[in-house]
Amino acid sequence: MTRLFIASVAAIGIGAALQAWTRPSVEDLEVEATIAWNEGDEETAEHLARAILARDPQSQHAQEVMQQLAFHTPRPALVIALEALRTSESDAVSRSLRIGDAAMSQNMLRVAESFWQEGLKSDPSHEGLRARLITLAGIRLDPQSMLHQLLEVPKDVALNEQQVLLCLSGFAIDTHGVLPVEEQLRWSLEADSADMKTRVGLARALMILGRHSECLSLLEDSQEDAAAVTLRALVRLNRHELVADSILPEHPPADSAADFYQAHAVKHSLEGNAEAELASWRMAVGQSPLSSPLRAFFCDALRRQQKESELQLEATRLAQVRRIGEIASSKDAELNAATIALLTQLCHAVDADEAVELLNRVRHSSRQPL
Amino acid sequence: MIIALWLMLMIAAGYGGGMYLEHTSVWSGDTELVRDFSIRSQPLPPPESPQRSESTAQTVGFRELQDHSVMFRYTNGPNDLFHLAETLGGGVAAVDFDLDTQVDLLFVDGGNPVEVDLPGRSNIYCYRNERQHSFEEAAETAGLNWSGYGHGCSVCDFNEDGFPDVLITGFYGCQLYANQGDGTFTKFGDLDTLAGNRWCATAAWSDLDGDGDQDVYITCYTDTPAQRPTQICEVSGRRIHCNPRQSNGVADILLENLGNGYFKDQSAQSGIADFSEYGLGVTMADFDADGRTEIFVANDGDRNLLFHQTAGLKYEECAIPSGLAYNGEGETMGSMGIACADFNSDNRLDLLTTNFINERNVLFSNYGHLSFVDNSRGTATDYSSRSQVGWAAVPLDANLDGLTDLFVANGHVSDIPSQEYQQAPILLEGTPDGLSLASPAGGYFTKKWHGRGACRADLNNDGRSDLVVSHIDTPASLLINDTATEHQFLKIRLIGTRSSRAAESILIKIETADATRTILYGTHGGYLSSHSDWLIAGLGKADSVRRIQVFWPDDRTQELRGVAAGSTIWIVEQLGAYQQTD
Repeated sequence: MTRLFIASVAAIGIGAALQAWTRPSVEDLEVEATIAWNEGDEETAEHLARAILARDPQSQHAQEVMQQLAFHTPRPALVIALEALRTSESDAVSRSLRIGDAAMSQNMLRVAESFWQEGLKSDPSHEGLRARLITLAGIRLDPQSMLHQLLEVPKDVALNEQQVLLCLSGFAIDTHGVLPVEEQLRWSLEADSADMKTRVGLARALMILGRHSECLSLLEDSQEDAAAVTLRALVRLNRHELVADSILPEHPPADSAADFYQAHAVKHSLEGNAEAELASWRMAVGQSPLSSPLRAFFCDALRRQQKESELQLEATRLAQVRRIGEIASSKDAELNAATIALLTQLCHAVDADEAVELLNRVRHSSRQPL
Repeated sequence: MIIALWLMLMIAAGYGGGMYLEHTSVWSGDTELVRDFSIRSQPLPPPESPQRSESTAQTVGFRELQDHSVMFRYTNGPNDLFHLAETLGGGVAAVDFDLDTQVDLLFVDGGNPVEVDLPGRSNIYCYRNERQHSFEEAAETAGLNWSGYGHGCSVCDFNEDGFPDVLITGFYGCQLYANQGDGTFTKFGDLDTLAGNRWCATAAWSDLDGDGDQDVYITCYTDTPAQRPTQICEVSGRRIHCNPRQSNGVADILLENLGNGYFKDQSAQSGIADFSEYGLGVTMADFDADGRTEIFVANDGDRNLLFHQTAGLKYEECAIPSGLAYNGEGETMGSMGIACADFNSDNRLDLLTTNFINERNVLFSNYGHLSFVDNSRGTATDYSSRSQVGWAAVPLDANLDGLTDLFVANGHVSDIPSQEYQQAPILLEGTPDGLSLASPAGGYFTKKWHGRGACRADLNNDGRSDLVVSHIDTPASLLINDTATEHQFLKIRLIGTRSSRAAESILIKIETADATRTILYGTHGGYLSSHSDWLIAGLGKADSVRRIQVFWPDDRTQELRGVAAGSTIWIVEQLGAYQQTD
């Protein structure tokens, strides 16, 4: 029996070897794939190209066919996977960068973010990767995230001045415009509906644009995400729908604490609890001191409650925050010593400590005398 | 034999297995990516379009006056020219130029922008108010004769003689007319020379340097030449006017009144000339209550400007930190007209700009300290205006309830497929919650027009603000306010003695038992026009005014107490109030 078993295994091996010996070569398959592609038989061409890539991932011919297929019928995942194939022999950082770029080109923001973050883990000082992640946070209308990412840059790495300016200008949403990013966020969410950060970003854009129903339906099934839940409560409150305490998270979510306190402020306002409303606005502004919309809402509350002396102070701060946005978003903005000094002074005046820290780092790294 | 067959079968199985593996072993990097990231695509519902809410107000009514002799219609040029100047239209001024207590009307016409100064043509139309609703054409007898391509008419008293003078602005220059006090005007001074051949739109007068006479700010639009356009612009095969941005913006003009009838160009020295935008509307007021007058300019397709006085006639531009440069979405707007009033009853002057189609009119609420916030998104101000091209915006208290209402004249610049060329005007009623869309306030509001300039005036002296609207190619409309209301009014005219007699841009606070209202006194029409210098304040149901405060320049406040509702009074600086009796 043992002999028979061994002979059987050998026979199977011979059969498999025979099949491998007689099967068409990669070159033959490439010719077949080309013929299929030229004849418009995309299905066969794709199958053959995939078979080739399984045997030879670097086959230019098969990659070309797949690229054409991805071009003809938009298939974002295919474009990204092909880039991963093409860069399989590159170093980890440039591979992450290129795959992330391919994902970004397909509006797959979450995938791009994941690859870029992976690359940044390997090289925390990589400016290109950092720039991409900061831009991405800007697209998602999340300036706080931009700021935190810049603060995470290793101390021995010089900060990119344009990124700092971009970050500071991102807080001035009311002088920056959300309409241009709305479309991009919409495309991205359609391509990857599980991308919660993009969903929250689009919802925020819609809230800013006053399209509350659309915003709420976007956040309807996002009960697991604290930022989405908080934003949803805020929008409902803005529509004068009093939201029960249980709907808001118990504690401020780390990445949307300002929304949390803003929601509480609006809720207290609807309940007629003036002092609690102002206290919540103070917390909200403290969480995001460079946000001009938040400061404008706070001023509005102070105006309604006729708190003249605090209103004077806050109106001045609102103007200072807008001035920061104006300087940072100016076409000709450059972070020379004078601009850094002015921005630092303004950020200090509005208690934006993190921004002051950021500007101090720029000042020290550029070694410009003040 | 059996074993041989078995081994053959095994060989075949090996071959078949190889074939199966080959067939199923395909590259699936994309599928793995989809699986790893749990990617799923899902279309989103299409974006919402702005909704109109149901109107809540039903009280305001205007009757279009039919039996009058004001036959003026603004002509903007030949049908086939498509010169940019044709788009702006003309303004109207309500002014009692003969001081007979009846409001007279002045209109300015266009003609043909490439054939200006035609001999024998006058583009000023003057209608003397003989009695209620009866007007007589009087331009020729009044000596108002100007053949330029006109846009704006602004009323002033540049020589402080108590008789209202008139500045006409237009494509390629402007002209100041001095009122001689006998019902006639004469061309005067060097203002036209200083303005040169710039394209002048709206002018606003105020004593900016505090020397007791009125200085003037004139917005300038583009450097488009006075010749047939060489560029042809089309939409869907239909020719339209080209975008103004195909020309360059031009710096505005600030002229200091030297007090002897002559002016000095302070545009460069003041810092105004540092900005070459596309100026159309302008208004002036002390928005931050610091005793100095700011200048707000609405620019077409470029950021708006706010000039804050630093010293004398020196200004710093601060529209961006003030929140007035862009709308709340951070976008530049095609801004045309301005309305300045306290729209939210917080006793601060707010600013509203009228804008191009697919934008929206924007109401900037004043939070003090030159800090404004556009919180009009999603409000009646927003959704009533998205499909309109807005021009003159007139704040008034039509139903005398003490809350500011708003009229906006609309009309497209070109006949573009799928967009309305003629457009309905907007009437928003002030409510405690802000401006709300009013029910159709009369036949005029159900029709469509090429509206441009507009002003408010009490044409029939009944204590209610009426409206006059100038249209392109159709006769001007006189809208008599016949709102059914029991609310009371107070009619005020200010006369400066120590400060400029015309008292432009002066704030008045009116205190009744129920409320305190802050009203801007002045004739600034915001877009090519001048309001009557009689201010009508609604008092609601109050039968008397507890206190009137007039905030004259240099922090001098004049107070009057116990004024009866329904009064018509002159308040003379330093001297007191004088009641008008018929």
